[in-house]
Amino acid sequence: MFQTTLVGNQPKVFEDPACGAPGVNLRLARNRFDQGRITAAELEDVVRATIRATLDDQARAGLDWLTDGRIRWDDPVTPFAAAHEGFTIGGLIRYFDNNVYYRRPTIAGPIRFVRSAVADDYRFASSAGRGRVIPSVCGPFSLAKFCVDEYYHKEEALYADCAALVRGELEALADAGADWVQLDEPYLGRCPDEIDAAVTAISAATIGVDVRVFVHTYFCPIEGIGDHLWRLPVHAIGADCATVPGNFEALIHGPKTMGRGFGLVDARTTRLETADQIVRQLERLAAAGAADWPACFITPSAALEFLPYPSAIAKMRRLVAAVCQFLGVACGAS
Amino acid sequence: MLETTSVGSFPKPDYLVKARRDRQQGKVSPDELTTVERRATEEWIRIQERIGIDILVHGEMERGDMTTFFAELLDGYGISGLVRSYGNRYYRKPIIQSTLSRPRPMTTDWHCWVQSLTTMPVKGMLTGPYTMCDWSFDEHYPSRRDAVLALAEIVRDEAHDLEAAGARYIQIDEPAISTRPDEIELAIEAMEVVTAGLKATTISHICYGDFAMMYPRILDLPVDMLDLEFANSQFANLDIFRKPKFTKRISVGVIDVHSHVIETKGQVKDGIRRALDVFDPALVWIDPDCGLKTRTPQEAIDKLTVMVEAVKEIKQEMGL
Repeated sequence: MFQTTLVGNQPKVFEDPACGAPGVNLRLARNRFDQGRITAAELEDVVRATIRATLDDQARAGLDWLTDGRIRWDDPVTPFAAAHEGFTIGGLIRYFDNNVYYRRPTIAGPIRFVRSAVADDYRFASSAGRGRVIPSVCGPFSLAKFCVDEYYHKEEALYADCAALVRGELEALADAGADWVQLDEPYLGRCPDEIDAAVTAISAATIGVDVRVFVHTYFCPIEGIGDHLWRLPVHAIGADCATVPGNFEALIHGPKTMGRGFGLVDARTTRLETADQIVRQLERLAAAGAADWPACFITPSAALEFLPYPSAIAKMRRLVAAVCQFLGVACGAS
Repeated sequence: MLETTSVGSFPKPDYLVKARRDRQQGKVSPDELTTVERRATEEWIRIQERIGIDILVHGEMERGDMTTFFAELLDGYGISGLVRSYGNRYYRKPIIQSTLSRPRPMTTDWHCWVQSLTTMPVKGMLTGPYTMCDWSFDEHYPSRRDAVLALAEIVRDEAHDLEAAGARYIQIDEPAISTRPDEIELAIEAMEVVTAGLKATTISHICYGDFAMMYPRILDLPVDMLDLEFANSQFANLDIFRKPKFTKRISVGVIDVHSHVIETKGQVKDGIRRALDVFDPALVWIDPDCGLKTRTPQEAIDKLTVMVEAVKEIKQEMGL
């Protein structure tokens, strides 16, 4: 009934001796690469070892769907922008209301798909043999919002080209064998006045693509836009239900034909939820008919990279433990 | 008019980086580390004097992260593992674990010692209560408001101690204030607690946020001067402050601290001219966008030198 997975970026630095991979230090490797002390190939070895380590930790925690942790990415958009035409990288700006910053891309010319920014990492992660992998991609609406537009000056055209670019990514992931793709759309609930344009963009990116799409919103309420979300031609909608309690009700009351994802542990605090707290919410989901939904993902509220690694591990383990407790099975067999 | 200053941090020289690493590994004592921190601090004071900066900073050689430094000195805080702030940069994010209190003044001894090194004024440097809360995990207080106001009382006591120790300028950094426009009232309320009764010139540095969302309400932050970044965004933010009229004193960031490229004097002068088209020149100071700690020492020196030379030429052009 419930499938556990993560959202977006995972911590890249291992400090808990029981987690990660001994001797793998991506932070140090990136510093050395920046100083010209190691080669790009040597850095790539550390990146891949880090991806393997985060897959190992997720598998050990018992998650049903693993992610590559977007170890290569510092934010959901800048490497994506670097892989395709039309973008330049600009000044630093805060990533929503977090003490995390990213270099904001500027759209300086027509956006064109060049090569997938995510398919290679998906192939690597899924071939590592740790478990099923769900890749994630920035959605077209949020991609446009993350950037400064100095070329289109018409949102309709901007969203259409962002949608075409994301569609290219989804097709590449489908070709690579992905079953599900998580489409990050953190701006959805923040721009309710533009929800129709957002739905149009996401529809253009996803209709007819041979992969199941799980749209995940975070940092925002969805109560006011729920009716629009259910019109999306995707397979599941997810939201932060840990810090925006109204999202839980909004998701529950969606149509039976739509899968959904519930962010039940707060990804931005070290305060650890109890298993009983999560189980009570799972009980409500079961009573609401979760077993009849096409999918019911149980996730953190957002990326766990906002936490230090030991806390992130504790959160994912707690999530799995709660599902196991609810199902009455041993952990790792949810 | 057009006094030059810096926002706060300077890069740590290699010998201090090594000493801090050695201290973590227990290879040097706290006193030995302090000796090295003092050496680096005095070097930065002399560098600023040589460049000709008007209001000095001590450079924060004794500090790592601006939140964690204070958290380690307060009762009630614990320190977590590494959390990324941007790119490949990380900090140890503090955790509020119990009721917060300040067992003793945290910055006055260091400030007095630094001020004794120079006849130029040195700013007292604090992190504001809103930012201290926002950049911490909170496992104790029932609400963000409770945590922010508890921290406001602590920062207030520290600010008053700094003033009593002779600080003429006290900077209470609030870079997180631009994070949540819906909480600006809380940030203002907390700053009222901090600055009430202070006679020193108070400054608050805010950066890398959406200024449009908080202007003009930010003018109600009860400090004498705001210190904002402009260079990193190519001065695109300036237009926000044209209407309504900006009524506070302002430190204008004209140096991009996140670029290895040294600005030309012409670029800096152009930025200053653009700022003076928006702000009353009598109310303007000039400084870098933010702390320079992420640059190499030589880059920081070169950037500050260009800034001071550009200000001199602008002043000459204005007949000052």
